Amino acid sequence: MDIEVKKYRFGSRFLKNFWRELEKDNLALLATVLLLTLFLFILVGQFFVPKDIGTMSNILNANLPPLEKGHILGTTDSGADFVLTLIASAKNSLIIGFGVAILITLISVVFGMIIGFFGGWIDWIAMRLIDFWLVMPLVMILAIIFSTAKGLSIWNLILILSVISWPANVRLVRTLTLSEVNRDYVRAARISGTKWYKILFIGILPNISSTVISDFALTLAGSIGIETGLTFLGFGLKQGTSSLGTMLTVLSGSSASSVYTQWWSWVPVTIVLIILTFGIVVLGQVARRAIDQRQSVS
Amino acid sequence: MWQTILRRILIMIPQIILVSILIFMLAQLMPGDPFYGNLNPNSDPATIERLRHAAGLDLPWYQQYFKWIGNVLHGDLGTSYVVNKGWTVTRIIGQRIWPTLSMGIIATILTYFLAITQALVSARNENKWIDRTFIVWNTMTSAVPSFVFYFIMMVLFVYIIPVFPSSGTGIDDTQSFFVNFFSNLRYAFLPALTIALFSTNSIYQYLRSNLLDQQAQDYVRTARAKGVQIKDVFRKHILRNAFLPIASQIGYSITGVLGGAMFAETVFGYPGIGALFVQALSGRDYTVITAVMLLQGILALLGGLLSDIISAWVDPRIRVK
Repeated sequence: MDIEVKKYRFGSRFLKNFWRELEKDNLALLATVLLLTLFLFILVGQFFVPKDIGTMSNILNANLPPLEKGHILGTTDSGADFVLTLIASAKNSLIIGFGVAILITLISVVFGMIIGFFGGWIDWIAMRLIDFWLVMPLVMILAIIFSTAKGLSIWNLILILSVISWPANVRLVRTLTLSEVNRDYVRAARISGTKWYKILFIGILPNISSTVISDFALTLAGSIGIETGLTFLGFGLKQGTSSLGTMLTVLSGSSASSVYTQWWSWVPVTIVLIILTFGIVVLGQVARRAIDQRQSVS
Repeated sequence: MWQTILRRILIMIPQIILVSILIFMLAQLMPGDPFYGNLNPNSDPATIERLRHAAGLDLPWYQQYFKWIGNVLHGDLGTSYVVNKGWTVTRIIGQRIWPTLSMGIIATILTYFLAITQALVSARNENKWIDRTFIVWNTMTSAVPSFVFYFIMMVLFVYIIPVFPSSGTGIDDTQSFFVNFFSNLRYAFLPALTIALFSTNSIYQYLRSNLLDQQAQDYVRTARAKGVQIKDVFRKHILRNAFLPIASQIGYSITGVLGGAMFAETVFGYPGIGALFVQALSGRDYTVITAVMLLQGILALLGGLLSDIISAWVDPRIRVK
């Protein structure tokens, strides 16, 4: 009798589970729809964004309220169309967020698994450094570094953010690895002489992947948060490169009442930020449940 | 107990040295020096050189480090060049620290109050709509960068419903302490409440899962089986066990106060240490920047120490033999 071995294409089961989890959770469904709409908007919209949107200055049209002279949401203080600036900024913020999250996840998976797997003095030194680094005021350190360089390019910003903020993620991956290292399958693999990198990446990594993925989403939302926060305070990106944070910088100045009188200059940015960060975190949780069906919502 | 504390304090010494080196390196990273932007463009290069020499900026870095450390140990943090020109940094910080402290203390108390209330309600009504609402609320406030909510609160409670003043601290040096205390309360309350409303997540999540864990323990079933009311089990057994880990978190929340204050103080126009730091960074006021960083670094280490002491105090298993 033939035993039929059902073969899954990589990812197919994940997508099926993912969809099933979404159907059970209305909020996650809403977040996904909003997030996808936003992505689509950015993807299509960026083709309409003029190249010089960051450097143009059209003082006659500056700070127009919504629905004037054909600008749906008015104009920015340099006279560029608000919607187009918003699209360009959201794209930049997303690139930064994804760049940082991917880099940090790579660092944390490789480094965290290695120190968790080998332990010993490497682990001891690494953990002391990480513990020390975690009590430091990282946002303030980042603010200092950003303010020293008068304006960074997107890629430099990604590098600096990643280099400063990896420790929490490494610690998480290390903890996850430690809980796997003493499982039977790892021992069996060790005894049978499997190479350490095979044990790590083929054996342990799939077992910790659900947490790593939801942590990826948290890091993504978190780095968008840090980036927008610091650029909002006026540190970070160079002149001409806008992000969701630089669009809010106008409000941090002396004219506090403009928060109320020019509400259109921050409300759309805020909505985009909320959809982005909240949607990403919710999706991360759904992805986690889809991978690890034990955590599924009943 | 005392051994644990002593050991923990000894660990702090290398940490403080590391912090000071780190801060000094960051200060060295900054290009130029405070004189460049503030001198008359026509001034003589020799004058600038003399000023730099007087401030010790022409020495090699290690000599500058030891000079700086020596000054700090003598309580001399230098003079501000930009923010409040000519003031000593100690005076500026002394003036700015009280608003931040009052805001931070109110914010911490409110955060704990809100988070604990939410967690208790959630744990008593697991998987009901109110539990789900709190979970979604906390997920959202932790995901979205908090300064976004500060705008919303600002518009709501300063402009639409004008109950709170828009900017300032309400502190007047000529008034007595009590007058200042109460007038400051009015100014500090909105930023503090706002910080608290949107930073409950970590305590909430932690306490909620603790409470749920404890509820499933055998001792709860035993107590219920012998007829104790669920609310008494909650008050006398579950709460005490679930609160232990939360108590030790309070030290770490001190660490966050200054970093969070940067955003809250800037948005609400509340001139405390956080706003001072942002001002100093924009103006490259080195002495102020390094002083604030040093303050924050030491506060962070003290916060960690406090947390460890509290957790050793409430949970004897942690103490070192």
